[in-house]
Amino acid sequence: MEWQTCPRCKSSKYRNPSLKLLVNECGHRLCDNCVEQLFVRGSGSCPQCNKPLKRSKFREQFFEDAEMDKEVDVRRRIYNDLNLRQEDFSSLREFNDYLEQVETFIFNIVNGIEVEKTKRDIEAVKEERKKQLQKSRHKKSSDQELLMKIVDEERLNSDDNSRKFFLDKREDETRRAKEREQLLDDLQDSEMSAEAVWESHKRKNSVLDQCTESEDYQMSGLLQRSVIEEPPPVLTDNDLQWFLRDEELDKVEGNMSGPPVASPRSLAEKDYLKATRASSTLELTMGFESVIPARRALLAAFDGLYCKFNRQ
Amino acid sequence: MFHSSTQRKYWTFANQDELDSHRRASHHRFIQERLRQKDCAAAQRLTSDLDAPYTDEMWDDLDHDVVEESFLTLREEFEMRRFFQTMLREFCAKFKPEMPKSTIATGFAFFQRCYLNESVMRFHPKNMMITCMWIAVKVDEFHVSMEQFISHLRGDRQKAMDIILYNEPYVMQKLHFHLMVHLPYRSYEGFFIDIRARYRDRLKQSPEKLRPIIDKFLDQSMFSDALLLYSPSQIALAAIFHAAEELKEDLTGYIENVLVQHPITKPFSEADDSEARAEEVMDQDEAEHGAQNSIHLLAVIDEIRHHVSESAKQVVSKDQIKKLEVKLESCKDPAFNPETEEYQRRLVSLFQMEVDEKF
Repeated sequence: MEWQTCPRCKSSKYRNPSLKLLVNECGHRLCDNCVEQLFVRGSGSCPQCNKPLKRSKFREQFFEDAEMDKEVDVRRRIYNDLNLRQEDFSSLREFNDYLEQVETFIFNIVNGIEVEKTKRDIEAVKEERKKQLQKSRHKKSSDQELLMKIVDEERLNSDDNSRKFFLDKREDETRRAKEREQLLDDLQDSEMSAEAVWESHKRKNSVLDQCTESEDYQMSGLLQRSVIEEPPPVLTDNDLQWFLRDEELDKVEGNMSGPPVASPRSLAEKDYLKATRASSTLELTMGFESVIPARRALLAAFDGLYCKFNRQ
Repeated sequence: MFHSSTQRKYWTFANQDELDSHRRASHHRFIQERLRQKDCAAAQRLTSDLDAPYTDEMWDDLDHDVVEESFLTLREEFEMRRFFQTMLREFCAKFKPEMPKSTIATGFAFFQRCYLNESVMRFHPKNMMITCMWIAVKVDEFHVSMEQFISHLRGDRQKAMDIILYNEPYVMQKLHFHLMVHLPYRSYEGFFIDIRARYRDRLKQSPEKLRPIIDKFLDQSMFSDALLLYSPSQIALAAIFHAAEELKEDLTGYIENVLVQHPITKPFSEADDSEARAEEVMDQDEAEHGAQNSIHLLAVIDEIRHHVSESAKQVVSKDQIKKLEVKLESCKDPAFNPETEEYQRRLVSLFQMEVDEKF
């Protein structure tokens, strides 16, 4: 309980579930209310060690031991500055020396040993390797690249697997339906006794079921932890263009007693779209091409133009 | 699509005579009903000399001058409608953000449709107009809450709200639940697209200059019976034609050569000077057909313009309405008059029905 209590106002997570504990550079915690009070001007000193602190540097406490938070914070900051990779050194030995140096810096700063000197040393290293640092700033480390690659591969695999799973399932269902029909037909037409027909079907089915079951087993082995999702539907060109097809339109607009309106495709080819507002990117992503409202307006214009309503 | 709509099937009429006969019938029906039931002062006055209870056969024996004196005449009904149309227009103009033209026109269309089969004496246009508009804002998806809606009314707002909610189902029923109204506005945009694409180079000035005049024309057309007689596309074309003529532009060429895609007078010679129409070499039958169509269309446009301008001349003053209101006092339908017991009784029974449905 102790680590969830604010040392200043003594309120704890137990009493106030919405309490947020924050930690700054010095590794002492404070709750967000106290921070609000003490750091009204944006900066102030830590109530425990009197170290001058900036309000913007407060972050939420993540570990039980606030010191750990401090170390993670320092590590992140130093890695940000000193981000050389093995390729930047001529030998493994040199790279290891560099890593050890970085670790020493982190240890010193976290534990408050010769802080000023360490900071000066960091600056010196930064100065020394300025060019290399700048170059490697934008490159991802090999670790990160590897991670990305693994994630991509996994995603691809699981997509494939789930698609296969669904296809198999559908196939299986159709097969079963067919067999059921077959059974009914057999029962109706066959000269064997009903029991015999039933038995032979059951045997056949059990063999097939075993096959699929063993496949299922394999599948679930592959997909041990990944969730089986329905694969994204594959849209064909035909699906996307169905509303632009001329014969479909003809069915609806055949008897509208007015001059015909050209199909969307030919409207777009002629100069019509110049006379209308172009669709924005956002509208296009949702499929609202400007030809659709333009054509709708034209339809409204020509629809019923020749109507006569039996006038005398 | 207009051609497959209920508007075309049920709410577009052959001519003015047919409209008038519908109005006459509902007017007549209302008076007959009052005389039978004797539930208003006018009916009691008329039937007081009769020996037996009134039946429909006795209609011809009545003194028709007295009938006209006691009940509103058809002309007076028209004046009432017209006056409250102008009121409705003012009411719509008060909304902020501005109410779209299509919403206003939808409300007006409901108003006109309702009074085809209903007498002004049964249903006061003041109540009808706000109820129609309340349905229209919902149908046309112009979202306003009831509080916002009635805040633009003068007088007792709570009472207005009761009237709207009480009459809403009744008005919907009078509309036969045909809530889709096809208006000239989209057609008008369509013609603009077409003109800009195919006829822009023949115009002396930008078509945008036509817009204010077109808007005014369409506004006037709402007050008239145009939407009950013509298709929305015809009204839109008439509006554009009217505006073009005011600005000394000629759109006859557009209708004859471009829209109907065939010139009336010179069938093929015109086609040569324009690439757009070079492909439109039609055979003799089609040419004949096209010519008929454009003659018909130009005639319809003239009719609409005449109809709308005639209707715009009809102005009703407030004094006339005051007189009519006095006359209306004695010939109202008590079931729709909020001051009577009959109305209260119906309101309670309506409420009871709702409660019964819930539990």
